[in-house]
Amino acid sequence: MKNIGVYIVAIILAIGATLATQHFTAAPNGQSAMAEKKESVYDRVTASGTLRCGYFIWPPAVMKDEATGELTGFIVDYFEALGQALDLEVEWSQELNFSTYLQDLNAGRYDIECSGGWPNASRGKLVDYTTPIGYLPMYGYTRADDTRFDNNLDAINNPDVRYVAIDGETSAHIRKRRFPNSTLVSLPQITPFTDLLLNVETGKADVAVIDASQAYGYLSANPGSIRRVASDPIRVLQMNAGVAQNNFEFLEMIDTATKELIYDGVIDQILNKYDPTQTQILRLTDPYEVN
Amino acid sequence: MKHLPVYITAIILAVAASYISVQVFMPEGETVREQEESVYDRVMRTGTIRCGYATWNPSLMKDPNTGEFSGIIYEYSEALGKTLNLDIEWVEEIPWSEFPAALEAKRVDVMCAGVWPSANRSRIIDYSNPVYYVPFLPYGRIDDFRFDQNLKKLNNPDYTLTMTDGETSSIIAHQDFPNTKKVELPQLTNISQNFLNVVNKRADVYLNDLTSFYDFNENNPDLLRIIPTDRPIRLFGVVVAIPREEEGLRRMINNATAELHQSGVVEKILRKYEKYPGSLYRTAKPYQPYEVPN
Repeated sequence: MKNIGVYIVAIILAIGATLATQHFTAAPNGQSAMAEKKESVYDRVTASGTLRCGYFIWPPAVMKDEATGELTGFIVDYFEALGQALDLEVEWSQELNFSTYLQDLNAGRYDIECSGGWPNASRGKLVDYTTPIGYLPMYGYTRADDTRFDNNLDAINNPDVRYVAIDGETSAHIRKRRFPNSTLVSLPQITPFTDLLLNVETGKADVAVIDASQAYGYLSANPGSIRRVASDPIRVLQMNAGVAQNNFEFLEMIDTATKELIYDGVIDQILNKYDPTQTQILRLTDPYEVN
Repeated sequence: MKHLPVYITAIILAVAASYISVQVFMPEGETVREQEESVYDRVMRTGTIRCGYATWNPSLMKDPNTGEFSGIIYEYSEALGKTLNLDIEWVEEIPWSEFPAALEAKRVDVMCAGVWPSANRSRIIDYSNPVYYVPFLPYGRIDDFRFDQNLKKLNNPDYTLTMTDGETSSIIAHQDFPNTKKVELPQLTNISQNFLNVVNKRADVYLNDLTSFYDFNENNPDLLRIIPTDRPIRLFGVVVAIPREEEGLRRMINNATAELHQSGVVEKILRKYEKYPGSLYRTAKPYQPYEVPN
């Protein structure tokens, strides 16, 4: 026992050295290097054989039969074809909450956003997007007898013009960038998109910017009620899917399968089924030339 | 010194304990280096993209008196920051030859200067999607029609190409016209000297971008012409350069760039700086033309 003090010093040295090693191998962001490595979306999907889709109801991309619960639409068909190509079961696991869906995606509550993506820069800061299957044109619409903005979109950027938009949605984003001087008529997030056009038709607002497919549906039900103010889209949006950030293996898998569906003509078949006049969804150009 | 063996044993124990703790608890295959903060994480944490730059007209210009920046890529970068809700900090002017190393060393996050991608540079850096394109075309004397729709004929020692040593005109000339006689001017020569070489019959053809040609033509009209060809000799996508293996950063910039294209912001900037209409090529629309009924 005469060396017990020396042994105690030795043990303290050993513990100190261990703690120092742990300290210096810790990640700079404060995350411990010893933290358990998180399972990637790719690992989870390929191991389970199931792709968990989160979705919004947004005709004609995703529509739900209230009686049967059955989902239809061009994005639904696209993901079912994707699942078939990848030999994965597509599980339509949850309807999404607009205010939290990006955070839910990054938290792994579902694997992929299956509603068309609608990417923009601020969403792209938080999540990644797959390769597009088509483009959605957004136009300005006004009352049937209002010709003030015909081929003069700059006239919308005026405080006398009431611009109706859904809070936080793409139409509001476009106003902020393009027509900041217009007077905003703001609708809450749960408002159906077609209410934008209803506000215009009933004179509560002067102009709404909305995608062609919604306007087409509204005009089919209410012929002559509104009109498009310019021939060119104010904005086009990629139709794709959002995935959690930094899951590049998963992203590559979805992109490769999507390209297969594009080159096989499957995407064209699906889009033609829901948009036979080829006016609501703009088709992709070919990535090659035939001489 | 009688306790020396005990202290040595203690040191050995300490090293062994450290080694075992790292091996047992560190996730498999992970090293300390892999835990380093990515550029994307740093940008998101600080809310700032640190831009390196170099000046060339019309991509990025600096007023020597006020220090104020202007140009296509300057305005594009500022628009990128605005749409991403990130600050753009113009931190350092970097010579063209040094910017890949500056990105690799993380002196800057992005080279916001309007870079022309090359395969050689892509071994160490990555690029965003193009903001616009610069076409390279051949120019000859106003009365010389020998190469019209037949530029292959130029690849012959009977003809002469003029170029600046080490620049793109020289690289293309050596790649595409190895048999042509070459007049190479030293690096700091004003490029108008190449155009004058053609005018003065010291050379038959000069290869360069359209804006440079139109600048010369504005001051020296009716001396040179664009030699008609099926397509440009080269088309350079003007991009920003980013460090390699920064997939999160690259995707974020590309998503924002797509938005700036699709919302008409890039077109507005190009119209502002395009001195000669048609001299800057636009990115093609990724969707097919269509007619939408009212």
